[in-house]
Amino acid sequence: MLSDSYEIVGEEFKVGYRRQEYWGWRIATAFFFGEVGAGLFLVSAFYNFMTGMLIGWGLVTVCKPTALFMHLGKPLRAWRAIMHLSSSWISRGLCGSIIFTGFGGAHMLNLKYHIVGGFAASLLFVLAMLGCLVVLFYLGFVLSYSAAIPLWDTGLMPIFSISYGLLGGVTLILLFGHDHFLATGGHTYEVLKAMELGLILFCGVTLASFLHGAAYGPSAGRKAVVLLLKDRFAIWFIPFVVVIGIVLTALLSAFGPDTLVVLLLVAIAELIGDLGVKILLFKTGLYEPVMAHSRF
Amino acid sequence: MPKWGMVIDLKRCIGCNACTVACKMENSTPAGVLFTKTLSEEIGKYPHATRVYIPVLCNHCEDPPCERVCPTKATYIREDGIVLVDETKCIGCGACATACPYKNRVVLHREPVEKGLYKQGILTPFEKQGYPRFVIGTAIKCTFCHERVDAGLEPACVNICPTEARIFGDLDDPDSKVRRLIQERKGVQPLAHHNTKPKVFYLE
Repeated sequence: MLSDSYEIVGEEFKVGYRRQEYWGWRIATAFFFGEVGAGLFLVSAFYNFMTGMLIGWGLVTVCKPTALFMHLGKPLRAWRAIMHLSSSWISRGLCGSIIFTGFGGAHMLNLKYHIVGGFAASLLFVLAMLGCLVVLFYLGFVLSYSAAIPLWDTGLMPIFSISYGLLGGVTLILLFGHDHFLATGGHTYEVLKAMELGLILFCGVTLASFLHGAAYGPSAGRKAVVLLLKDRFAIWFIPFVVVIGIVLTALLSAFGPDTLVVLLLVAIAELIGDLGVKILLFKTGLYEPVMAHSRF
Repeated sequence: MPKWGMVIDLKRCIGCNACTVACKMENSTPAGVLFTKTLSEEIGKYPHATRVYIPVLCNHCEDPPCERVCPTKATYIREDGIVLVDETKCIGCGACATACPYKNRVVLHREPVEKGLYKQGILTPFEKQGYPRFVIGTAIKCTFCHERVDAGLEPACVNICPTEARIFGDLDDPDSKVRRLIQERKGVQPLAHHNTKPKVFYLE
C-alpha cells in the first residue's frame, strides 16, 4: 500500500506525505466558538430562551472573531474577505456571520423590547436563523472544499459541523436553562435531554463514518486515520475525543442525576471532545506525495 | 498571448539543487521559504537501488484551487497563465496554502524576516535589498520569475540548470520545445487526479 511505503516528511527534500501547517489551534478555536455559539443560539431561539441566545450570540460575535483575528496575517484587511462569494466558503461564512451578528442582535432586542411585530419580527427571526445556520455549517464546507487534503475531502464535513454545533448548543442550554426549564413543567427539559442523547449518538456515528471513509479513500487519508487511531495523535484522539467527548458524555447524560454539577460535567466533557476533534482535524491533515514512485 | 509552462525531465535531473539556490538568489526568500526544491526518492533495495530526483515548484495550474478558495481575490491568474498573489489584498488566512495539493505556498511570518538567514536579528546586505519586496503576514509563492519572463528571460531555475532538465516555454505554441517534449515523451502532470491542470509537466 502507498501509505505504508511513504513517511511523513517535514521540510526534508524527500518525497512523502506532508503535514498541513497553516491552520492550527487558533482557527480551530475560532470555529469551535462559532459552531457552539450558533448551536446554542439556534436551540435557544427555538425556545425563546434569552440567556442562551445572548451567550450564543456573544460567542459568535466576540470570541470567534477574536480567535480568527489572532490567526490572520493581516487582520485589519479582514473586511476584504467578503469579495469572493461566488466560490469561497470563507467569504460566504463571513457574510453569514455578519448577517447573524446584525439580525441575531436585532431579534433579541425585539424579543426584549417588542420594537416591531408581525411580518417584520418574523423577517428578523428568519434572517437571524439563516445567518446562524451558515455559521453553524460553513467550517464543514471550508474543509470539504480543500480537496488537497483527503481527510477533509468528504461530504460528511458539513454534517459533522452541524451535529457537533447542535450538540454543544443543547448541552449548554441544558446547563444554563436547567432551573428555567424545570420551573416551566419539565417537558422541554426532557425533550432537550432526549435530543442531547440522540445528538451524542449521531456525532459518534458521524465520527466513525468519517474515519471509515478516510481510511478507505486516498492513501493520505488512510495515513491520517492511522495517526489518529494508532500513531502520534492517538494519545489525544482516543481519550479526549472518543472517551471523554462521546462515551463519558453519553454515560453522564443517560445515567447521571439531573443536577447542575452533572450537567456542568456533561457540558465540559462534550466541549473538550468538540474542541479536541477540531484541533486534531487540523493537526492530521496530510497532503499526498507529489509523485508516487510506482510511476517509474 | 503565450501560455507559459515548464517541462521537467526527470532523467536529466541530477539533484544538484542549483535551481533551489538560484531561486533563493533571484527572489531573496527568507529562511525556510523555498519556492522550488528538488525532492529525492530512493526506489528498490540494494543491489538494485536507485534514486530519483523530483524538482517541485508552483505548477501555475489552469484551474488553481488556491485561486478558487481565496476570499479576497488576492490570488489571480495573469493572461499568460502565471498565478500570482496581490500582497495588498491578501489577508493571510492561509486558505490558498491549505488548498494547494502540492503544498507550494507559504504564509510569510515575521520571525524569518526579522531574524534573517543567520537567525541573529542582523540582516545581510543581500537580505536588506530583498526582503522589502515581501509583506509579512501574506501568502507568497513561486512567480515563474515573471519579471524575468516579461523581460524575455527564462526563470532563474531554468537558466541555472546545468543539465537542462528544466525547459520553459509557451504551451500554446505547437512548435515550442515544451510542447514537443510533452507530446513526444508523454509528459505527465503531478497529482493529475485533482484536475487542477498544472502547467508543469514531468518527463519520465
